[in-house]
Amino acid sequence: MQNVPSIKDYKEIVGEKYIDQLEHLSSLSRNKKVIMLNSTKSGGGVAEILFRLVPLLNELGIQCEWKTIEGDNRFFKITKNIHNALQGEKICFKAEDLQYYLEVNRENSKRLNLEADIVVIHDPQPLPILKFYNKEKSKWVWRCHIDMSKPDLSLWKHLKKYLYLYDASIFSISKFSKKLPHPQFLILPSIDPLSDKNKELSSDEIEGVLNSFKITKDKPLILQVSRFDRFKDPVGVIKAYRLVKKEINCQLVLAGGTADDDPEGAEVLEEVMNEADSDPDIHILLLEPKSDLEINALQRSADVVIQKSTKEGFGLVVTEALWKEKPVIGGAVGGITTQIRNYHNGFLVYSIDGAAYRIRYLLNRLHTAKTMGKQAKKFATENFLITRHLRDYLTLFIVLYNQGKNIIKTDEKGG
Amino acid sequence: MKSFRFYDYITIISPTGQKASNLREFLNILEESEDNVIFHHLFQAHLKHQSKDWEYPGDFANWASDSLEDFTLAEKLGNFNPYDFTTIAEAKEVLIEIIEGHMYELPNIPWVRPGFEFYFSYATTIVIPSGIEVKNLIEFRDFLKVINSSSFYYHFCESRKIKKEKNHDDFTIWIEDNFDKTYLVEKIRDIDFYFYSLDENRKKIIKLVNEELE
Repeated sequence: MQNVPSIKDYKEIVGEKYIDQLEHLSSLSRNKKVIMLNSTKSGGGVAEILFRLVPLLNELGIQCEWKTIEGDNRFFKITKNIHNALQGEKICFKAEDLQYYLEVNRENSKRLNLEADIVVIHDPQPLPILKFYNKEKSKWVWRCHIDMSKPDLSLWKHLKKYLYLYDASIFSISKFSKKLPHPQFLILPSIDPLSDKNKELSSDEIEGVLNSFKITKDKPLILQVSRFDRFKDPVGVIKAYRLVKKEINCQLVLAGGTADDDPEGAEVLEEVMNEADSDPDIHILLLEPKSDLEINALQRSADVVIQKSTKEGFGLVVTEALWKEKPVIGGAVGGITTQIRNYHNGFLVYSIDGAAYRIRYLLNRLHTAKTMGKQAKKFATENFLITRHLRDYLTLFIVLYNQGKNIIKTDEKGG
Repeated sequence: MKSFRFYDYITIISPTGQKASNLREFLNILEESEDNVIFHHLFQAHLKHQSKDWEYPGDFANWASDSLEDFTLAEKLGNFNPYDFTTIAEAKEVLIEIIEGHMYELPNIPWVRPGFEFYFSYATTIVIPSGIEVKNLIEFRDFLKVINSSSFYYHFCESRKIKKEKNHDDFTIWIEDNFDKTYLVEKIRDIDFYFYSLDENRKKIIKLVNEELE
């Protein structure tokens, strides 16, 4: 387990004034008690972000507690299906399963003391729990981390009745938002620049990782880091690489793992191996679950980073590459369109040909690629770091208690 | 002499849940939109293009260009300056006239690819003292280099809207009131501020102050 950094450790990255601003904002919510509730303390992006955010909020003076709901295999199987259906998969739910989902939430409500000024419920697993509390004195907010752009309609209709009980909702990007009877807020996901996956590495550390994978930097390196999942289109990436290879001698690294709960992973990996056809310049790396340092080193040694997804939530892997001064070529889907702006920090592409052409663009125009890389880091620093995530939460806490106001001033304006 | 206090300007965006996938839908939603939605997409849009990588200053013009690919409309909206109006309602009325007039000339309603719809939103803003206070032009220039972009936007752009005076930003009012620097005030007020990105505006002011201090 990594050490959680202190808020002061971020001064060097975002500047002292930014930290002062966070302290000022938190002083406006001092003595407020906040509870974050999700379904697990380990594994998955939500736990990862709460693991870092909660201590930082406490350090800033917010009494923030992180709690989790409990459930058995049946419950989590149902909520996994709910998760998938909200992301657009067509799933038919049995009435008794939806009832069980509600019952487990009722059981948790008996166990969990959720008395606080603000209660933030993360994702659909604990969504119905509010039904079993008296929320008169608290503000309840549902934080949705998933791609809700096209949820399964019948399930959405069922869940809406729970969501309508809340005071506000948070979505990651506008396209995931819905028409709701309460205020909605946008809080973009973030990366932690001090985590193993994103911290600065020495050239020796980077070289060590490349050596361990038997990769030499004798030719330009194209990289995609992602699970072996059809929506990430690894086969399309190999096809794009082959088009580039006709013009530029380069190598491709496809690095990722397969999740235990993803039976398709092995199948996709096999398709990828077949497509690679033992090309010595294609490196297919099957990474262990905790390979953060390895991913960091690979991203830092890449000349071009690609994320040729055909469906994507936010795509934090794109953010990680932008943070490391890499222009990114990304499929024009999901949150990738929020992160990449053509000619500024990368390119959005729509096809294998498009991906190949943009790889050639960046490999042939090294100076432009370098400039775009610098802009990429600036863009990530301004928009996608954990400090901004903290600021958004602190702002939200204030706004929840000032609803109906467009502008909240804490002092008479000078100037 | 009165010092100048810089304020921090912090926003959180709220989507309305409405989206437009073609120009007709866009116009219909625009007509029903509250002032805070129009304000966000026309004025606060400046915060999104801190560098000069956006073609146009407002969200509507950029969407017309990048997503709708209706470049004639984008050009028309690109020349639309919301600071020319004293109320949001007036700006909205003219905006609607531009779009209606444009649609009248079109044989078909333009639409966007899935994923490139226009999502309407508004923002809630918190304004807090930044802790930076300057007493002379040298300090002013030095801190202008380090304040964050949203603070710069608040004092140099949005302040004009608050005062309903297109040329009266916070900076030049302070300089005018405290120093005998008419030429500097005029040069800063001459900047085509809605056209330029925040970074460009900031650099221009720093350059002008430097010239004045030489």
